[in-house]
Amino acid sequence: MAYPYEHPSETRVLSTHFGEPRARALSFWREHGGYDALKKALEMGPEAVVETVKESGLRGRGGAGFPTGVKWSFMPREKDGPHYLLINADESEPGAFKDRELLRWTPHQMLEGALIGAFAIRAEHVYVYIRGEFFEPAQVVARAVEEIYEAGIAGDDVMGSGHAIDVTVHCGAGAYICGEETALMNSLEGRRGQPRVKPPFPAAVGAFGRPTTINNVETLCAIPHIVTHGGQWYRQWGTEKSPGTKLFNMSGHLERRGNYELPLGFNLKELLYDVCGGIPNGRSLKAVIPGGSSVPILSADEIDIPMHYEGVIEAGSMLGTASVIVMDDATDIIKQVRRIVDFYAHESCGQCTPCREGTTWVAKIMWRIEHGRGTMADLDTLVELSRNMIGTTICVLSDSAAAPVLSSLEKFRDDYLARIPKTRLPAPGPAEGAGAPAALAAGDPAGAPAHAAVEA
Amino acid sequence: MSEVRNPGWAGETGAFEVLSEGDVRGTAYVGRRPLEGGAPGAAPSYPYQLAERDPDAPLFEGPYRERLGKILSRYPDARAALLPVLNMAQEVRGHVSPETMDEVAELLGLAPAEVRGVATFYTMYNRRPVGRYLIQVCTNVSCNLCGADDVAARFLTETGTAPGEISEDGLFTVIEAECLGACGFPTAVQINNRYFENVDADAVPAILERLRAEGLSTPQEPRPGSGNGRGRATVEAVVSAGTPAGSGAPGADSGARHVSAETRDRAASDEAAGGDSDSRHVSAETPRSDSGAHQDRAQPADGESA
Repeated sequence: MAYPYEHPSETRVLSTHFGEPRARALSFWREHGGYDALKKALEMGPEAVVETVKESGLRGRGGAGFPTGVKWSFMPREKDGPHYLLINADESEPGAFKDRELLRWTPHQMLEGALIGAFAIRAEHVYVYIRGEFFEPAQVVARAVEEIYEAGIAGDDVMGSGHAIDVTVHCGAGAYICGEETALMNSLEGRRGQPRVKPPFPAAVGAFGRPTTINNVETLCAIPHIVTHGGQWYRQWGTEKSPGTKLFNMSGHLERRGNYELPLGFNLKELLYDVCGGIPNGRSLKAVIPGGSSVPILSADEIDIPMHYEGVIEAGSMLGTASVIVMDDATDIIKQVRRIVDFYAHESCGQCTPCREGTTWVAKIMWRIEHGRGTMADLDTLVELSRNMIGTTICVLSDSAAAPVLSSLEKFRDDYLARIPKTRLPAPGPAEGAGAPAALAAGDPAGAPAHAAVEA
Repeated sequence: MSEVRNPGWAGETGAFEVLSEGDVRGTAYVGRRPLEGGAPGAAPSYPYQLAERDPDAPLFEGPYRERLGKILSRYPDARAALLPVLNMAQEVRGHVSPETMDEVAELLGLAPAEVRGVATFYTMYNRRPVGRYLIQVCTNVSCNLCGADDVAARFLTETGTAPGEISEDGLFTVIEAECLGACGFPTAVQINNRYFENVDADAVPAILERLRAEGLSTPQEPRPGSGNGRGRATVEAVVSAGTPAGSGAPGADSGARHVSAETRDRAASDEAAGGDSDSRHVSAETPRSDSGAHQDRAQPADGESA
């Protein structure tokens, strides 16, 4: 059952034990077949495990959707030094809250998948990179790690197989960009979390200069089930290109928010109105962000679509992390887009000019439009700036910032036009700098939100 | 709406109304505090935001020095220990001052500028002191849609502070946070270690009341290593002092697995020595008794959640 609500349409594979406190314990997990898949994988050998995962068609659940088995097969087969498996538990995409649930309810599910993955890519050390804010989930995972060391499941001799795999919980310190795989490696190495230029790809030169694979928590949680039942079993759900089940993170204006595990390809409209109980307070739908804050917004008439990777792309957006943010008809879409862009301006690592400057300026322009001080020329500037932020940087953070701006300008242009004064603005008063609207002087200016107070 | 609110503000339990706050937080099932041992891979890394902290406390002494050894044993080089070590410094001192950054640089053999570059990059390192309870209100999109701005404003008015300020009683600092990853439970508020979920503006006074009660009832925890002078530690000193930091200087054996058997044996004996470990790790199957002893003091004892 998916916490906090359950629904008959759900297909529970990963979320079977959500909301069940006992499931955190190794003893419970072993009674329910836990670590049997690891034992089976150790007997199968690395090649067969990779083949099984390839056959399942499992795609990475961190947002990009790259096939996991293919990713694993990029790792060198001959070892001339250590290999690493990094677990990306730096969940911080606005709208996404699935990994936190997996970490805090089913830590052993993830660890089993991680050990199978580490065996398949011949890694001897697994680092669980958990975002620093997740104290509570990190404590639960830490206890699970203690238990598998005590039980001989991790360590020098994994389940008596002679293979040695270590597991270390590593906590971040607050930076969205560390969810990008190369930034995560830099952060793990004790550097600023700034993405690296690819190539070289992590499978060749990764963490500590060694071949490395980075997998999302949800991806690894699916692995034990696939190894137990076989690749074809996983294909009973979803489509040819998007097999399996997926946790859908439902937030915003919904009657029953929460995580729901459903087959990929589930209809978005049905998801909103049937599974989540529709929009509360008798309101109607205005917009949906289907895959977390970094994907284009869909308008209310674009939601009759299947939620799989290819289906959402066809609708002009992306599945991302399947983090569905729902906005009702009373939503100030400009304020929300501005808030999203503020986030990207705050989280830009500062390496690339189009992102560092672009996110900051887009945030400033969005702020003045929101506060009724924008001009028609600002709309064109927004489009020009945003287009220059796509495909011009090392990572996709600036592309992510541009997506909600461009899509909202296209689909909710009337909202923007309604905010733009029809008459000339009065000359700025003495308290205002040139181009700094009164709202900025009043506090919480774009690009320097209140949380900057402690960091400054 | 058919919402069932958890009175402990630890998540909306929805169809799971039988869950207690401790069940949701997982407080009956946590690793031992790093200072109490624990498996090497589990114990060293996860940070705490203690309610009680001392900006002048010595770093890296006593149990903290031992924990430092465990941290160093998990990575091929000392630089990789930077984030965990800064976490630890903040746990002890409450914020990371330029002086603290320099101490950490000396400890790990890094240039001070490198450490400052890292410490100022990440948002969780407070660069100035904060109140006993650092209240971080998520105002990002999912929470914002459900009234996060009102919650943030209410926290500010109820504590009588501006963002980032410490309240007059020294208890509270309120800031806005970016997405906390609890979007299904808006508004998400992180207070030191704890998440408070489904917070609306009307719940704010009761949360502050609860924190005040906790803050006043918590006894002063003796500071490990205090009174031991201010000798500065370095990687070499930690290694040569026999703390488990691998078989050689970290980095020297980056080609080999960097956790020595000695480290594990030591961890194992730590566990064995803590003979009451069964009672400390309250099994999730048994009815939860008071497991608060080994947890951060900022966490509620189980009885409090009712």
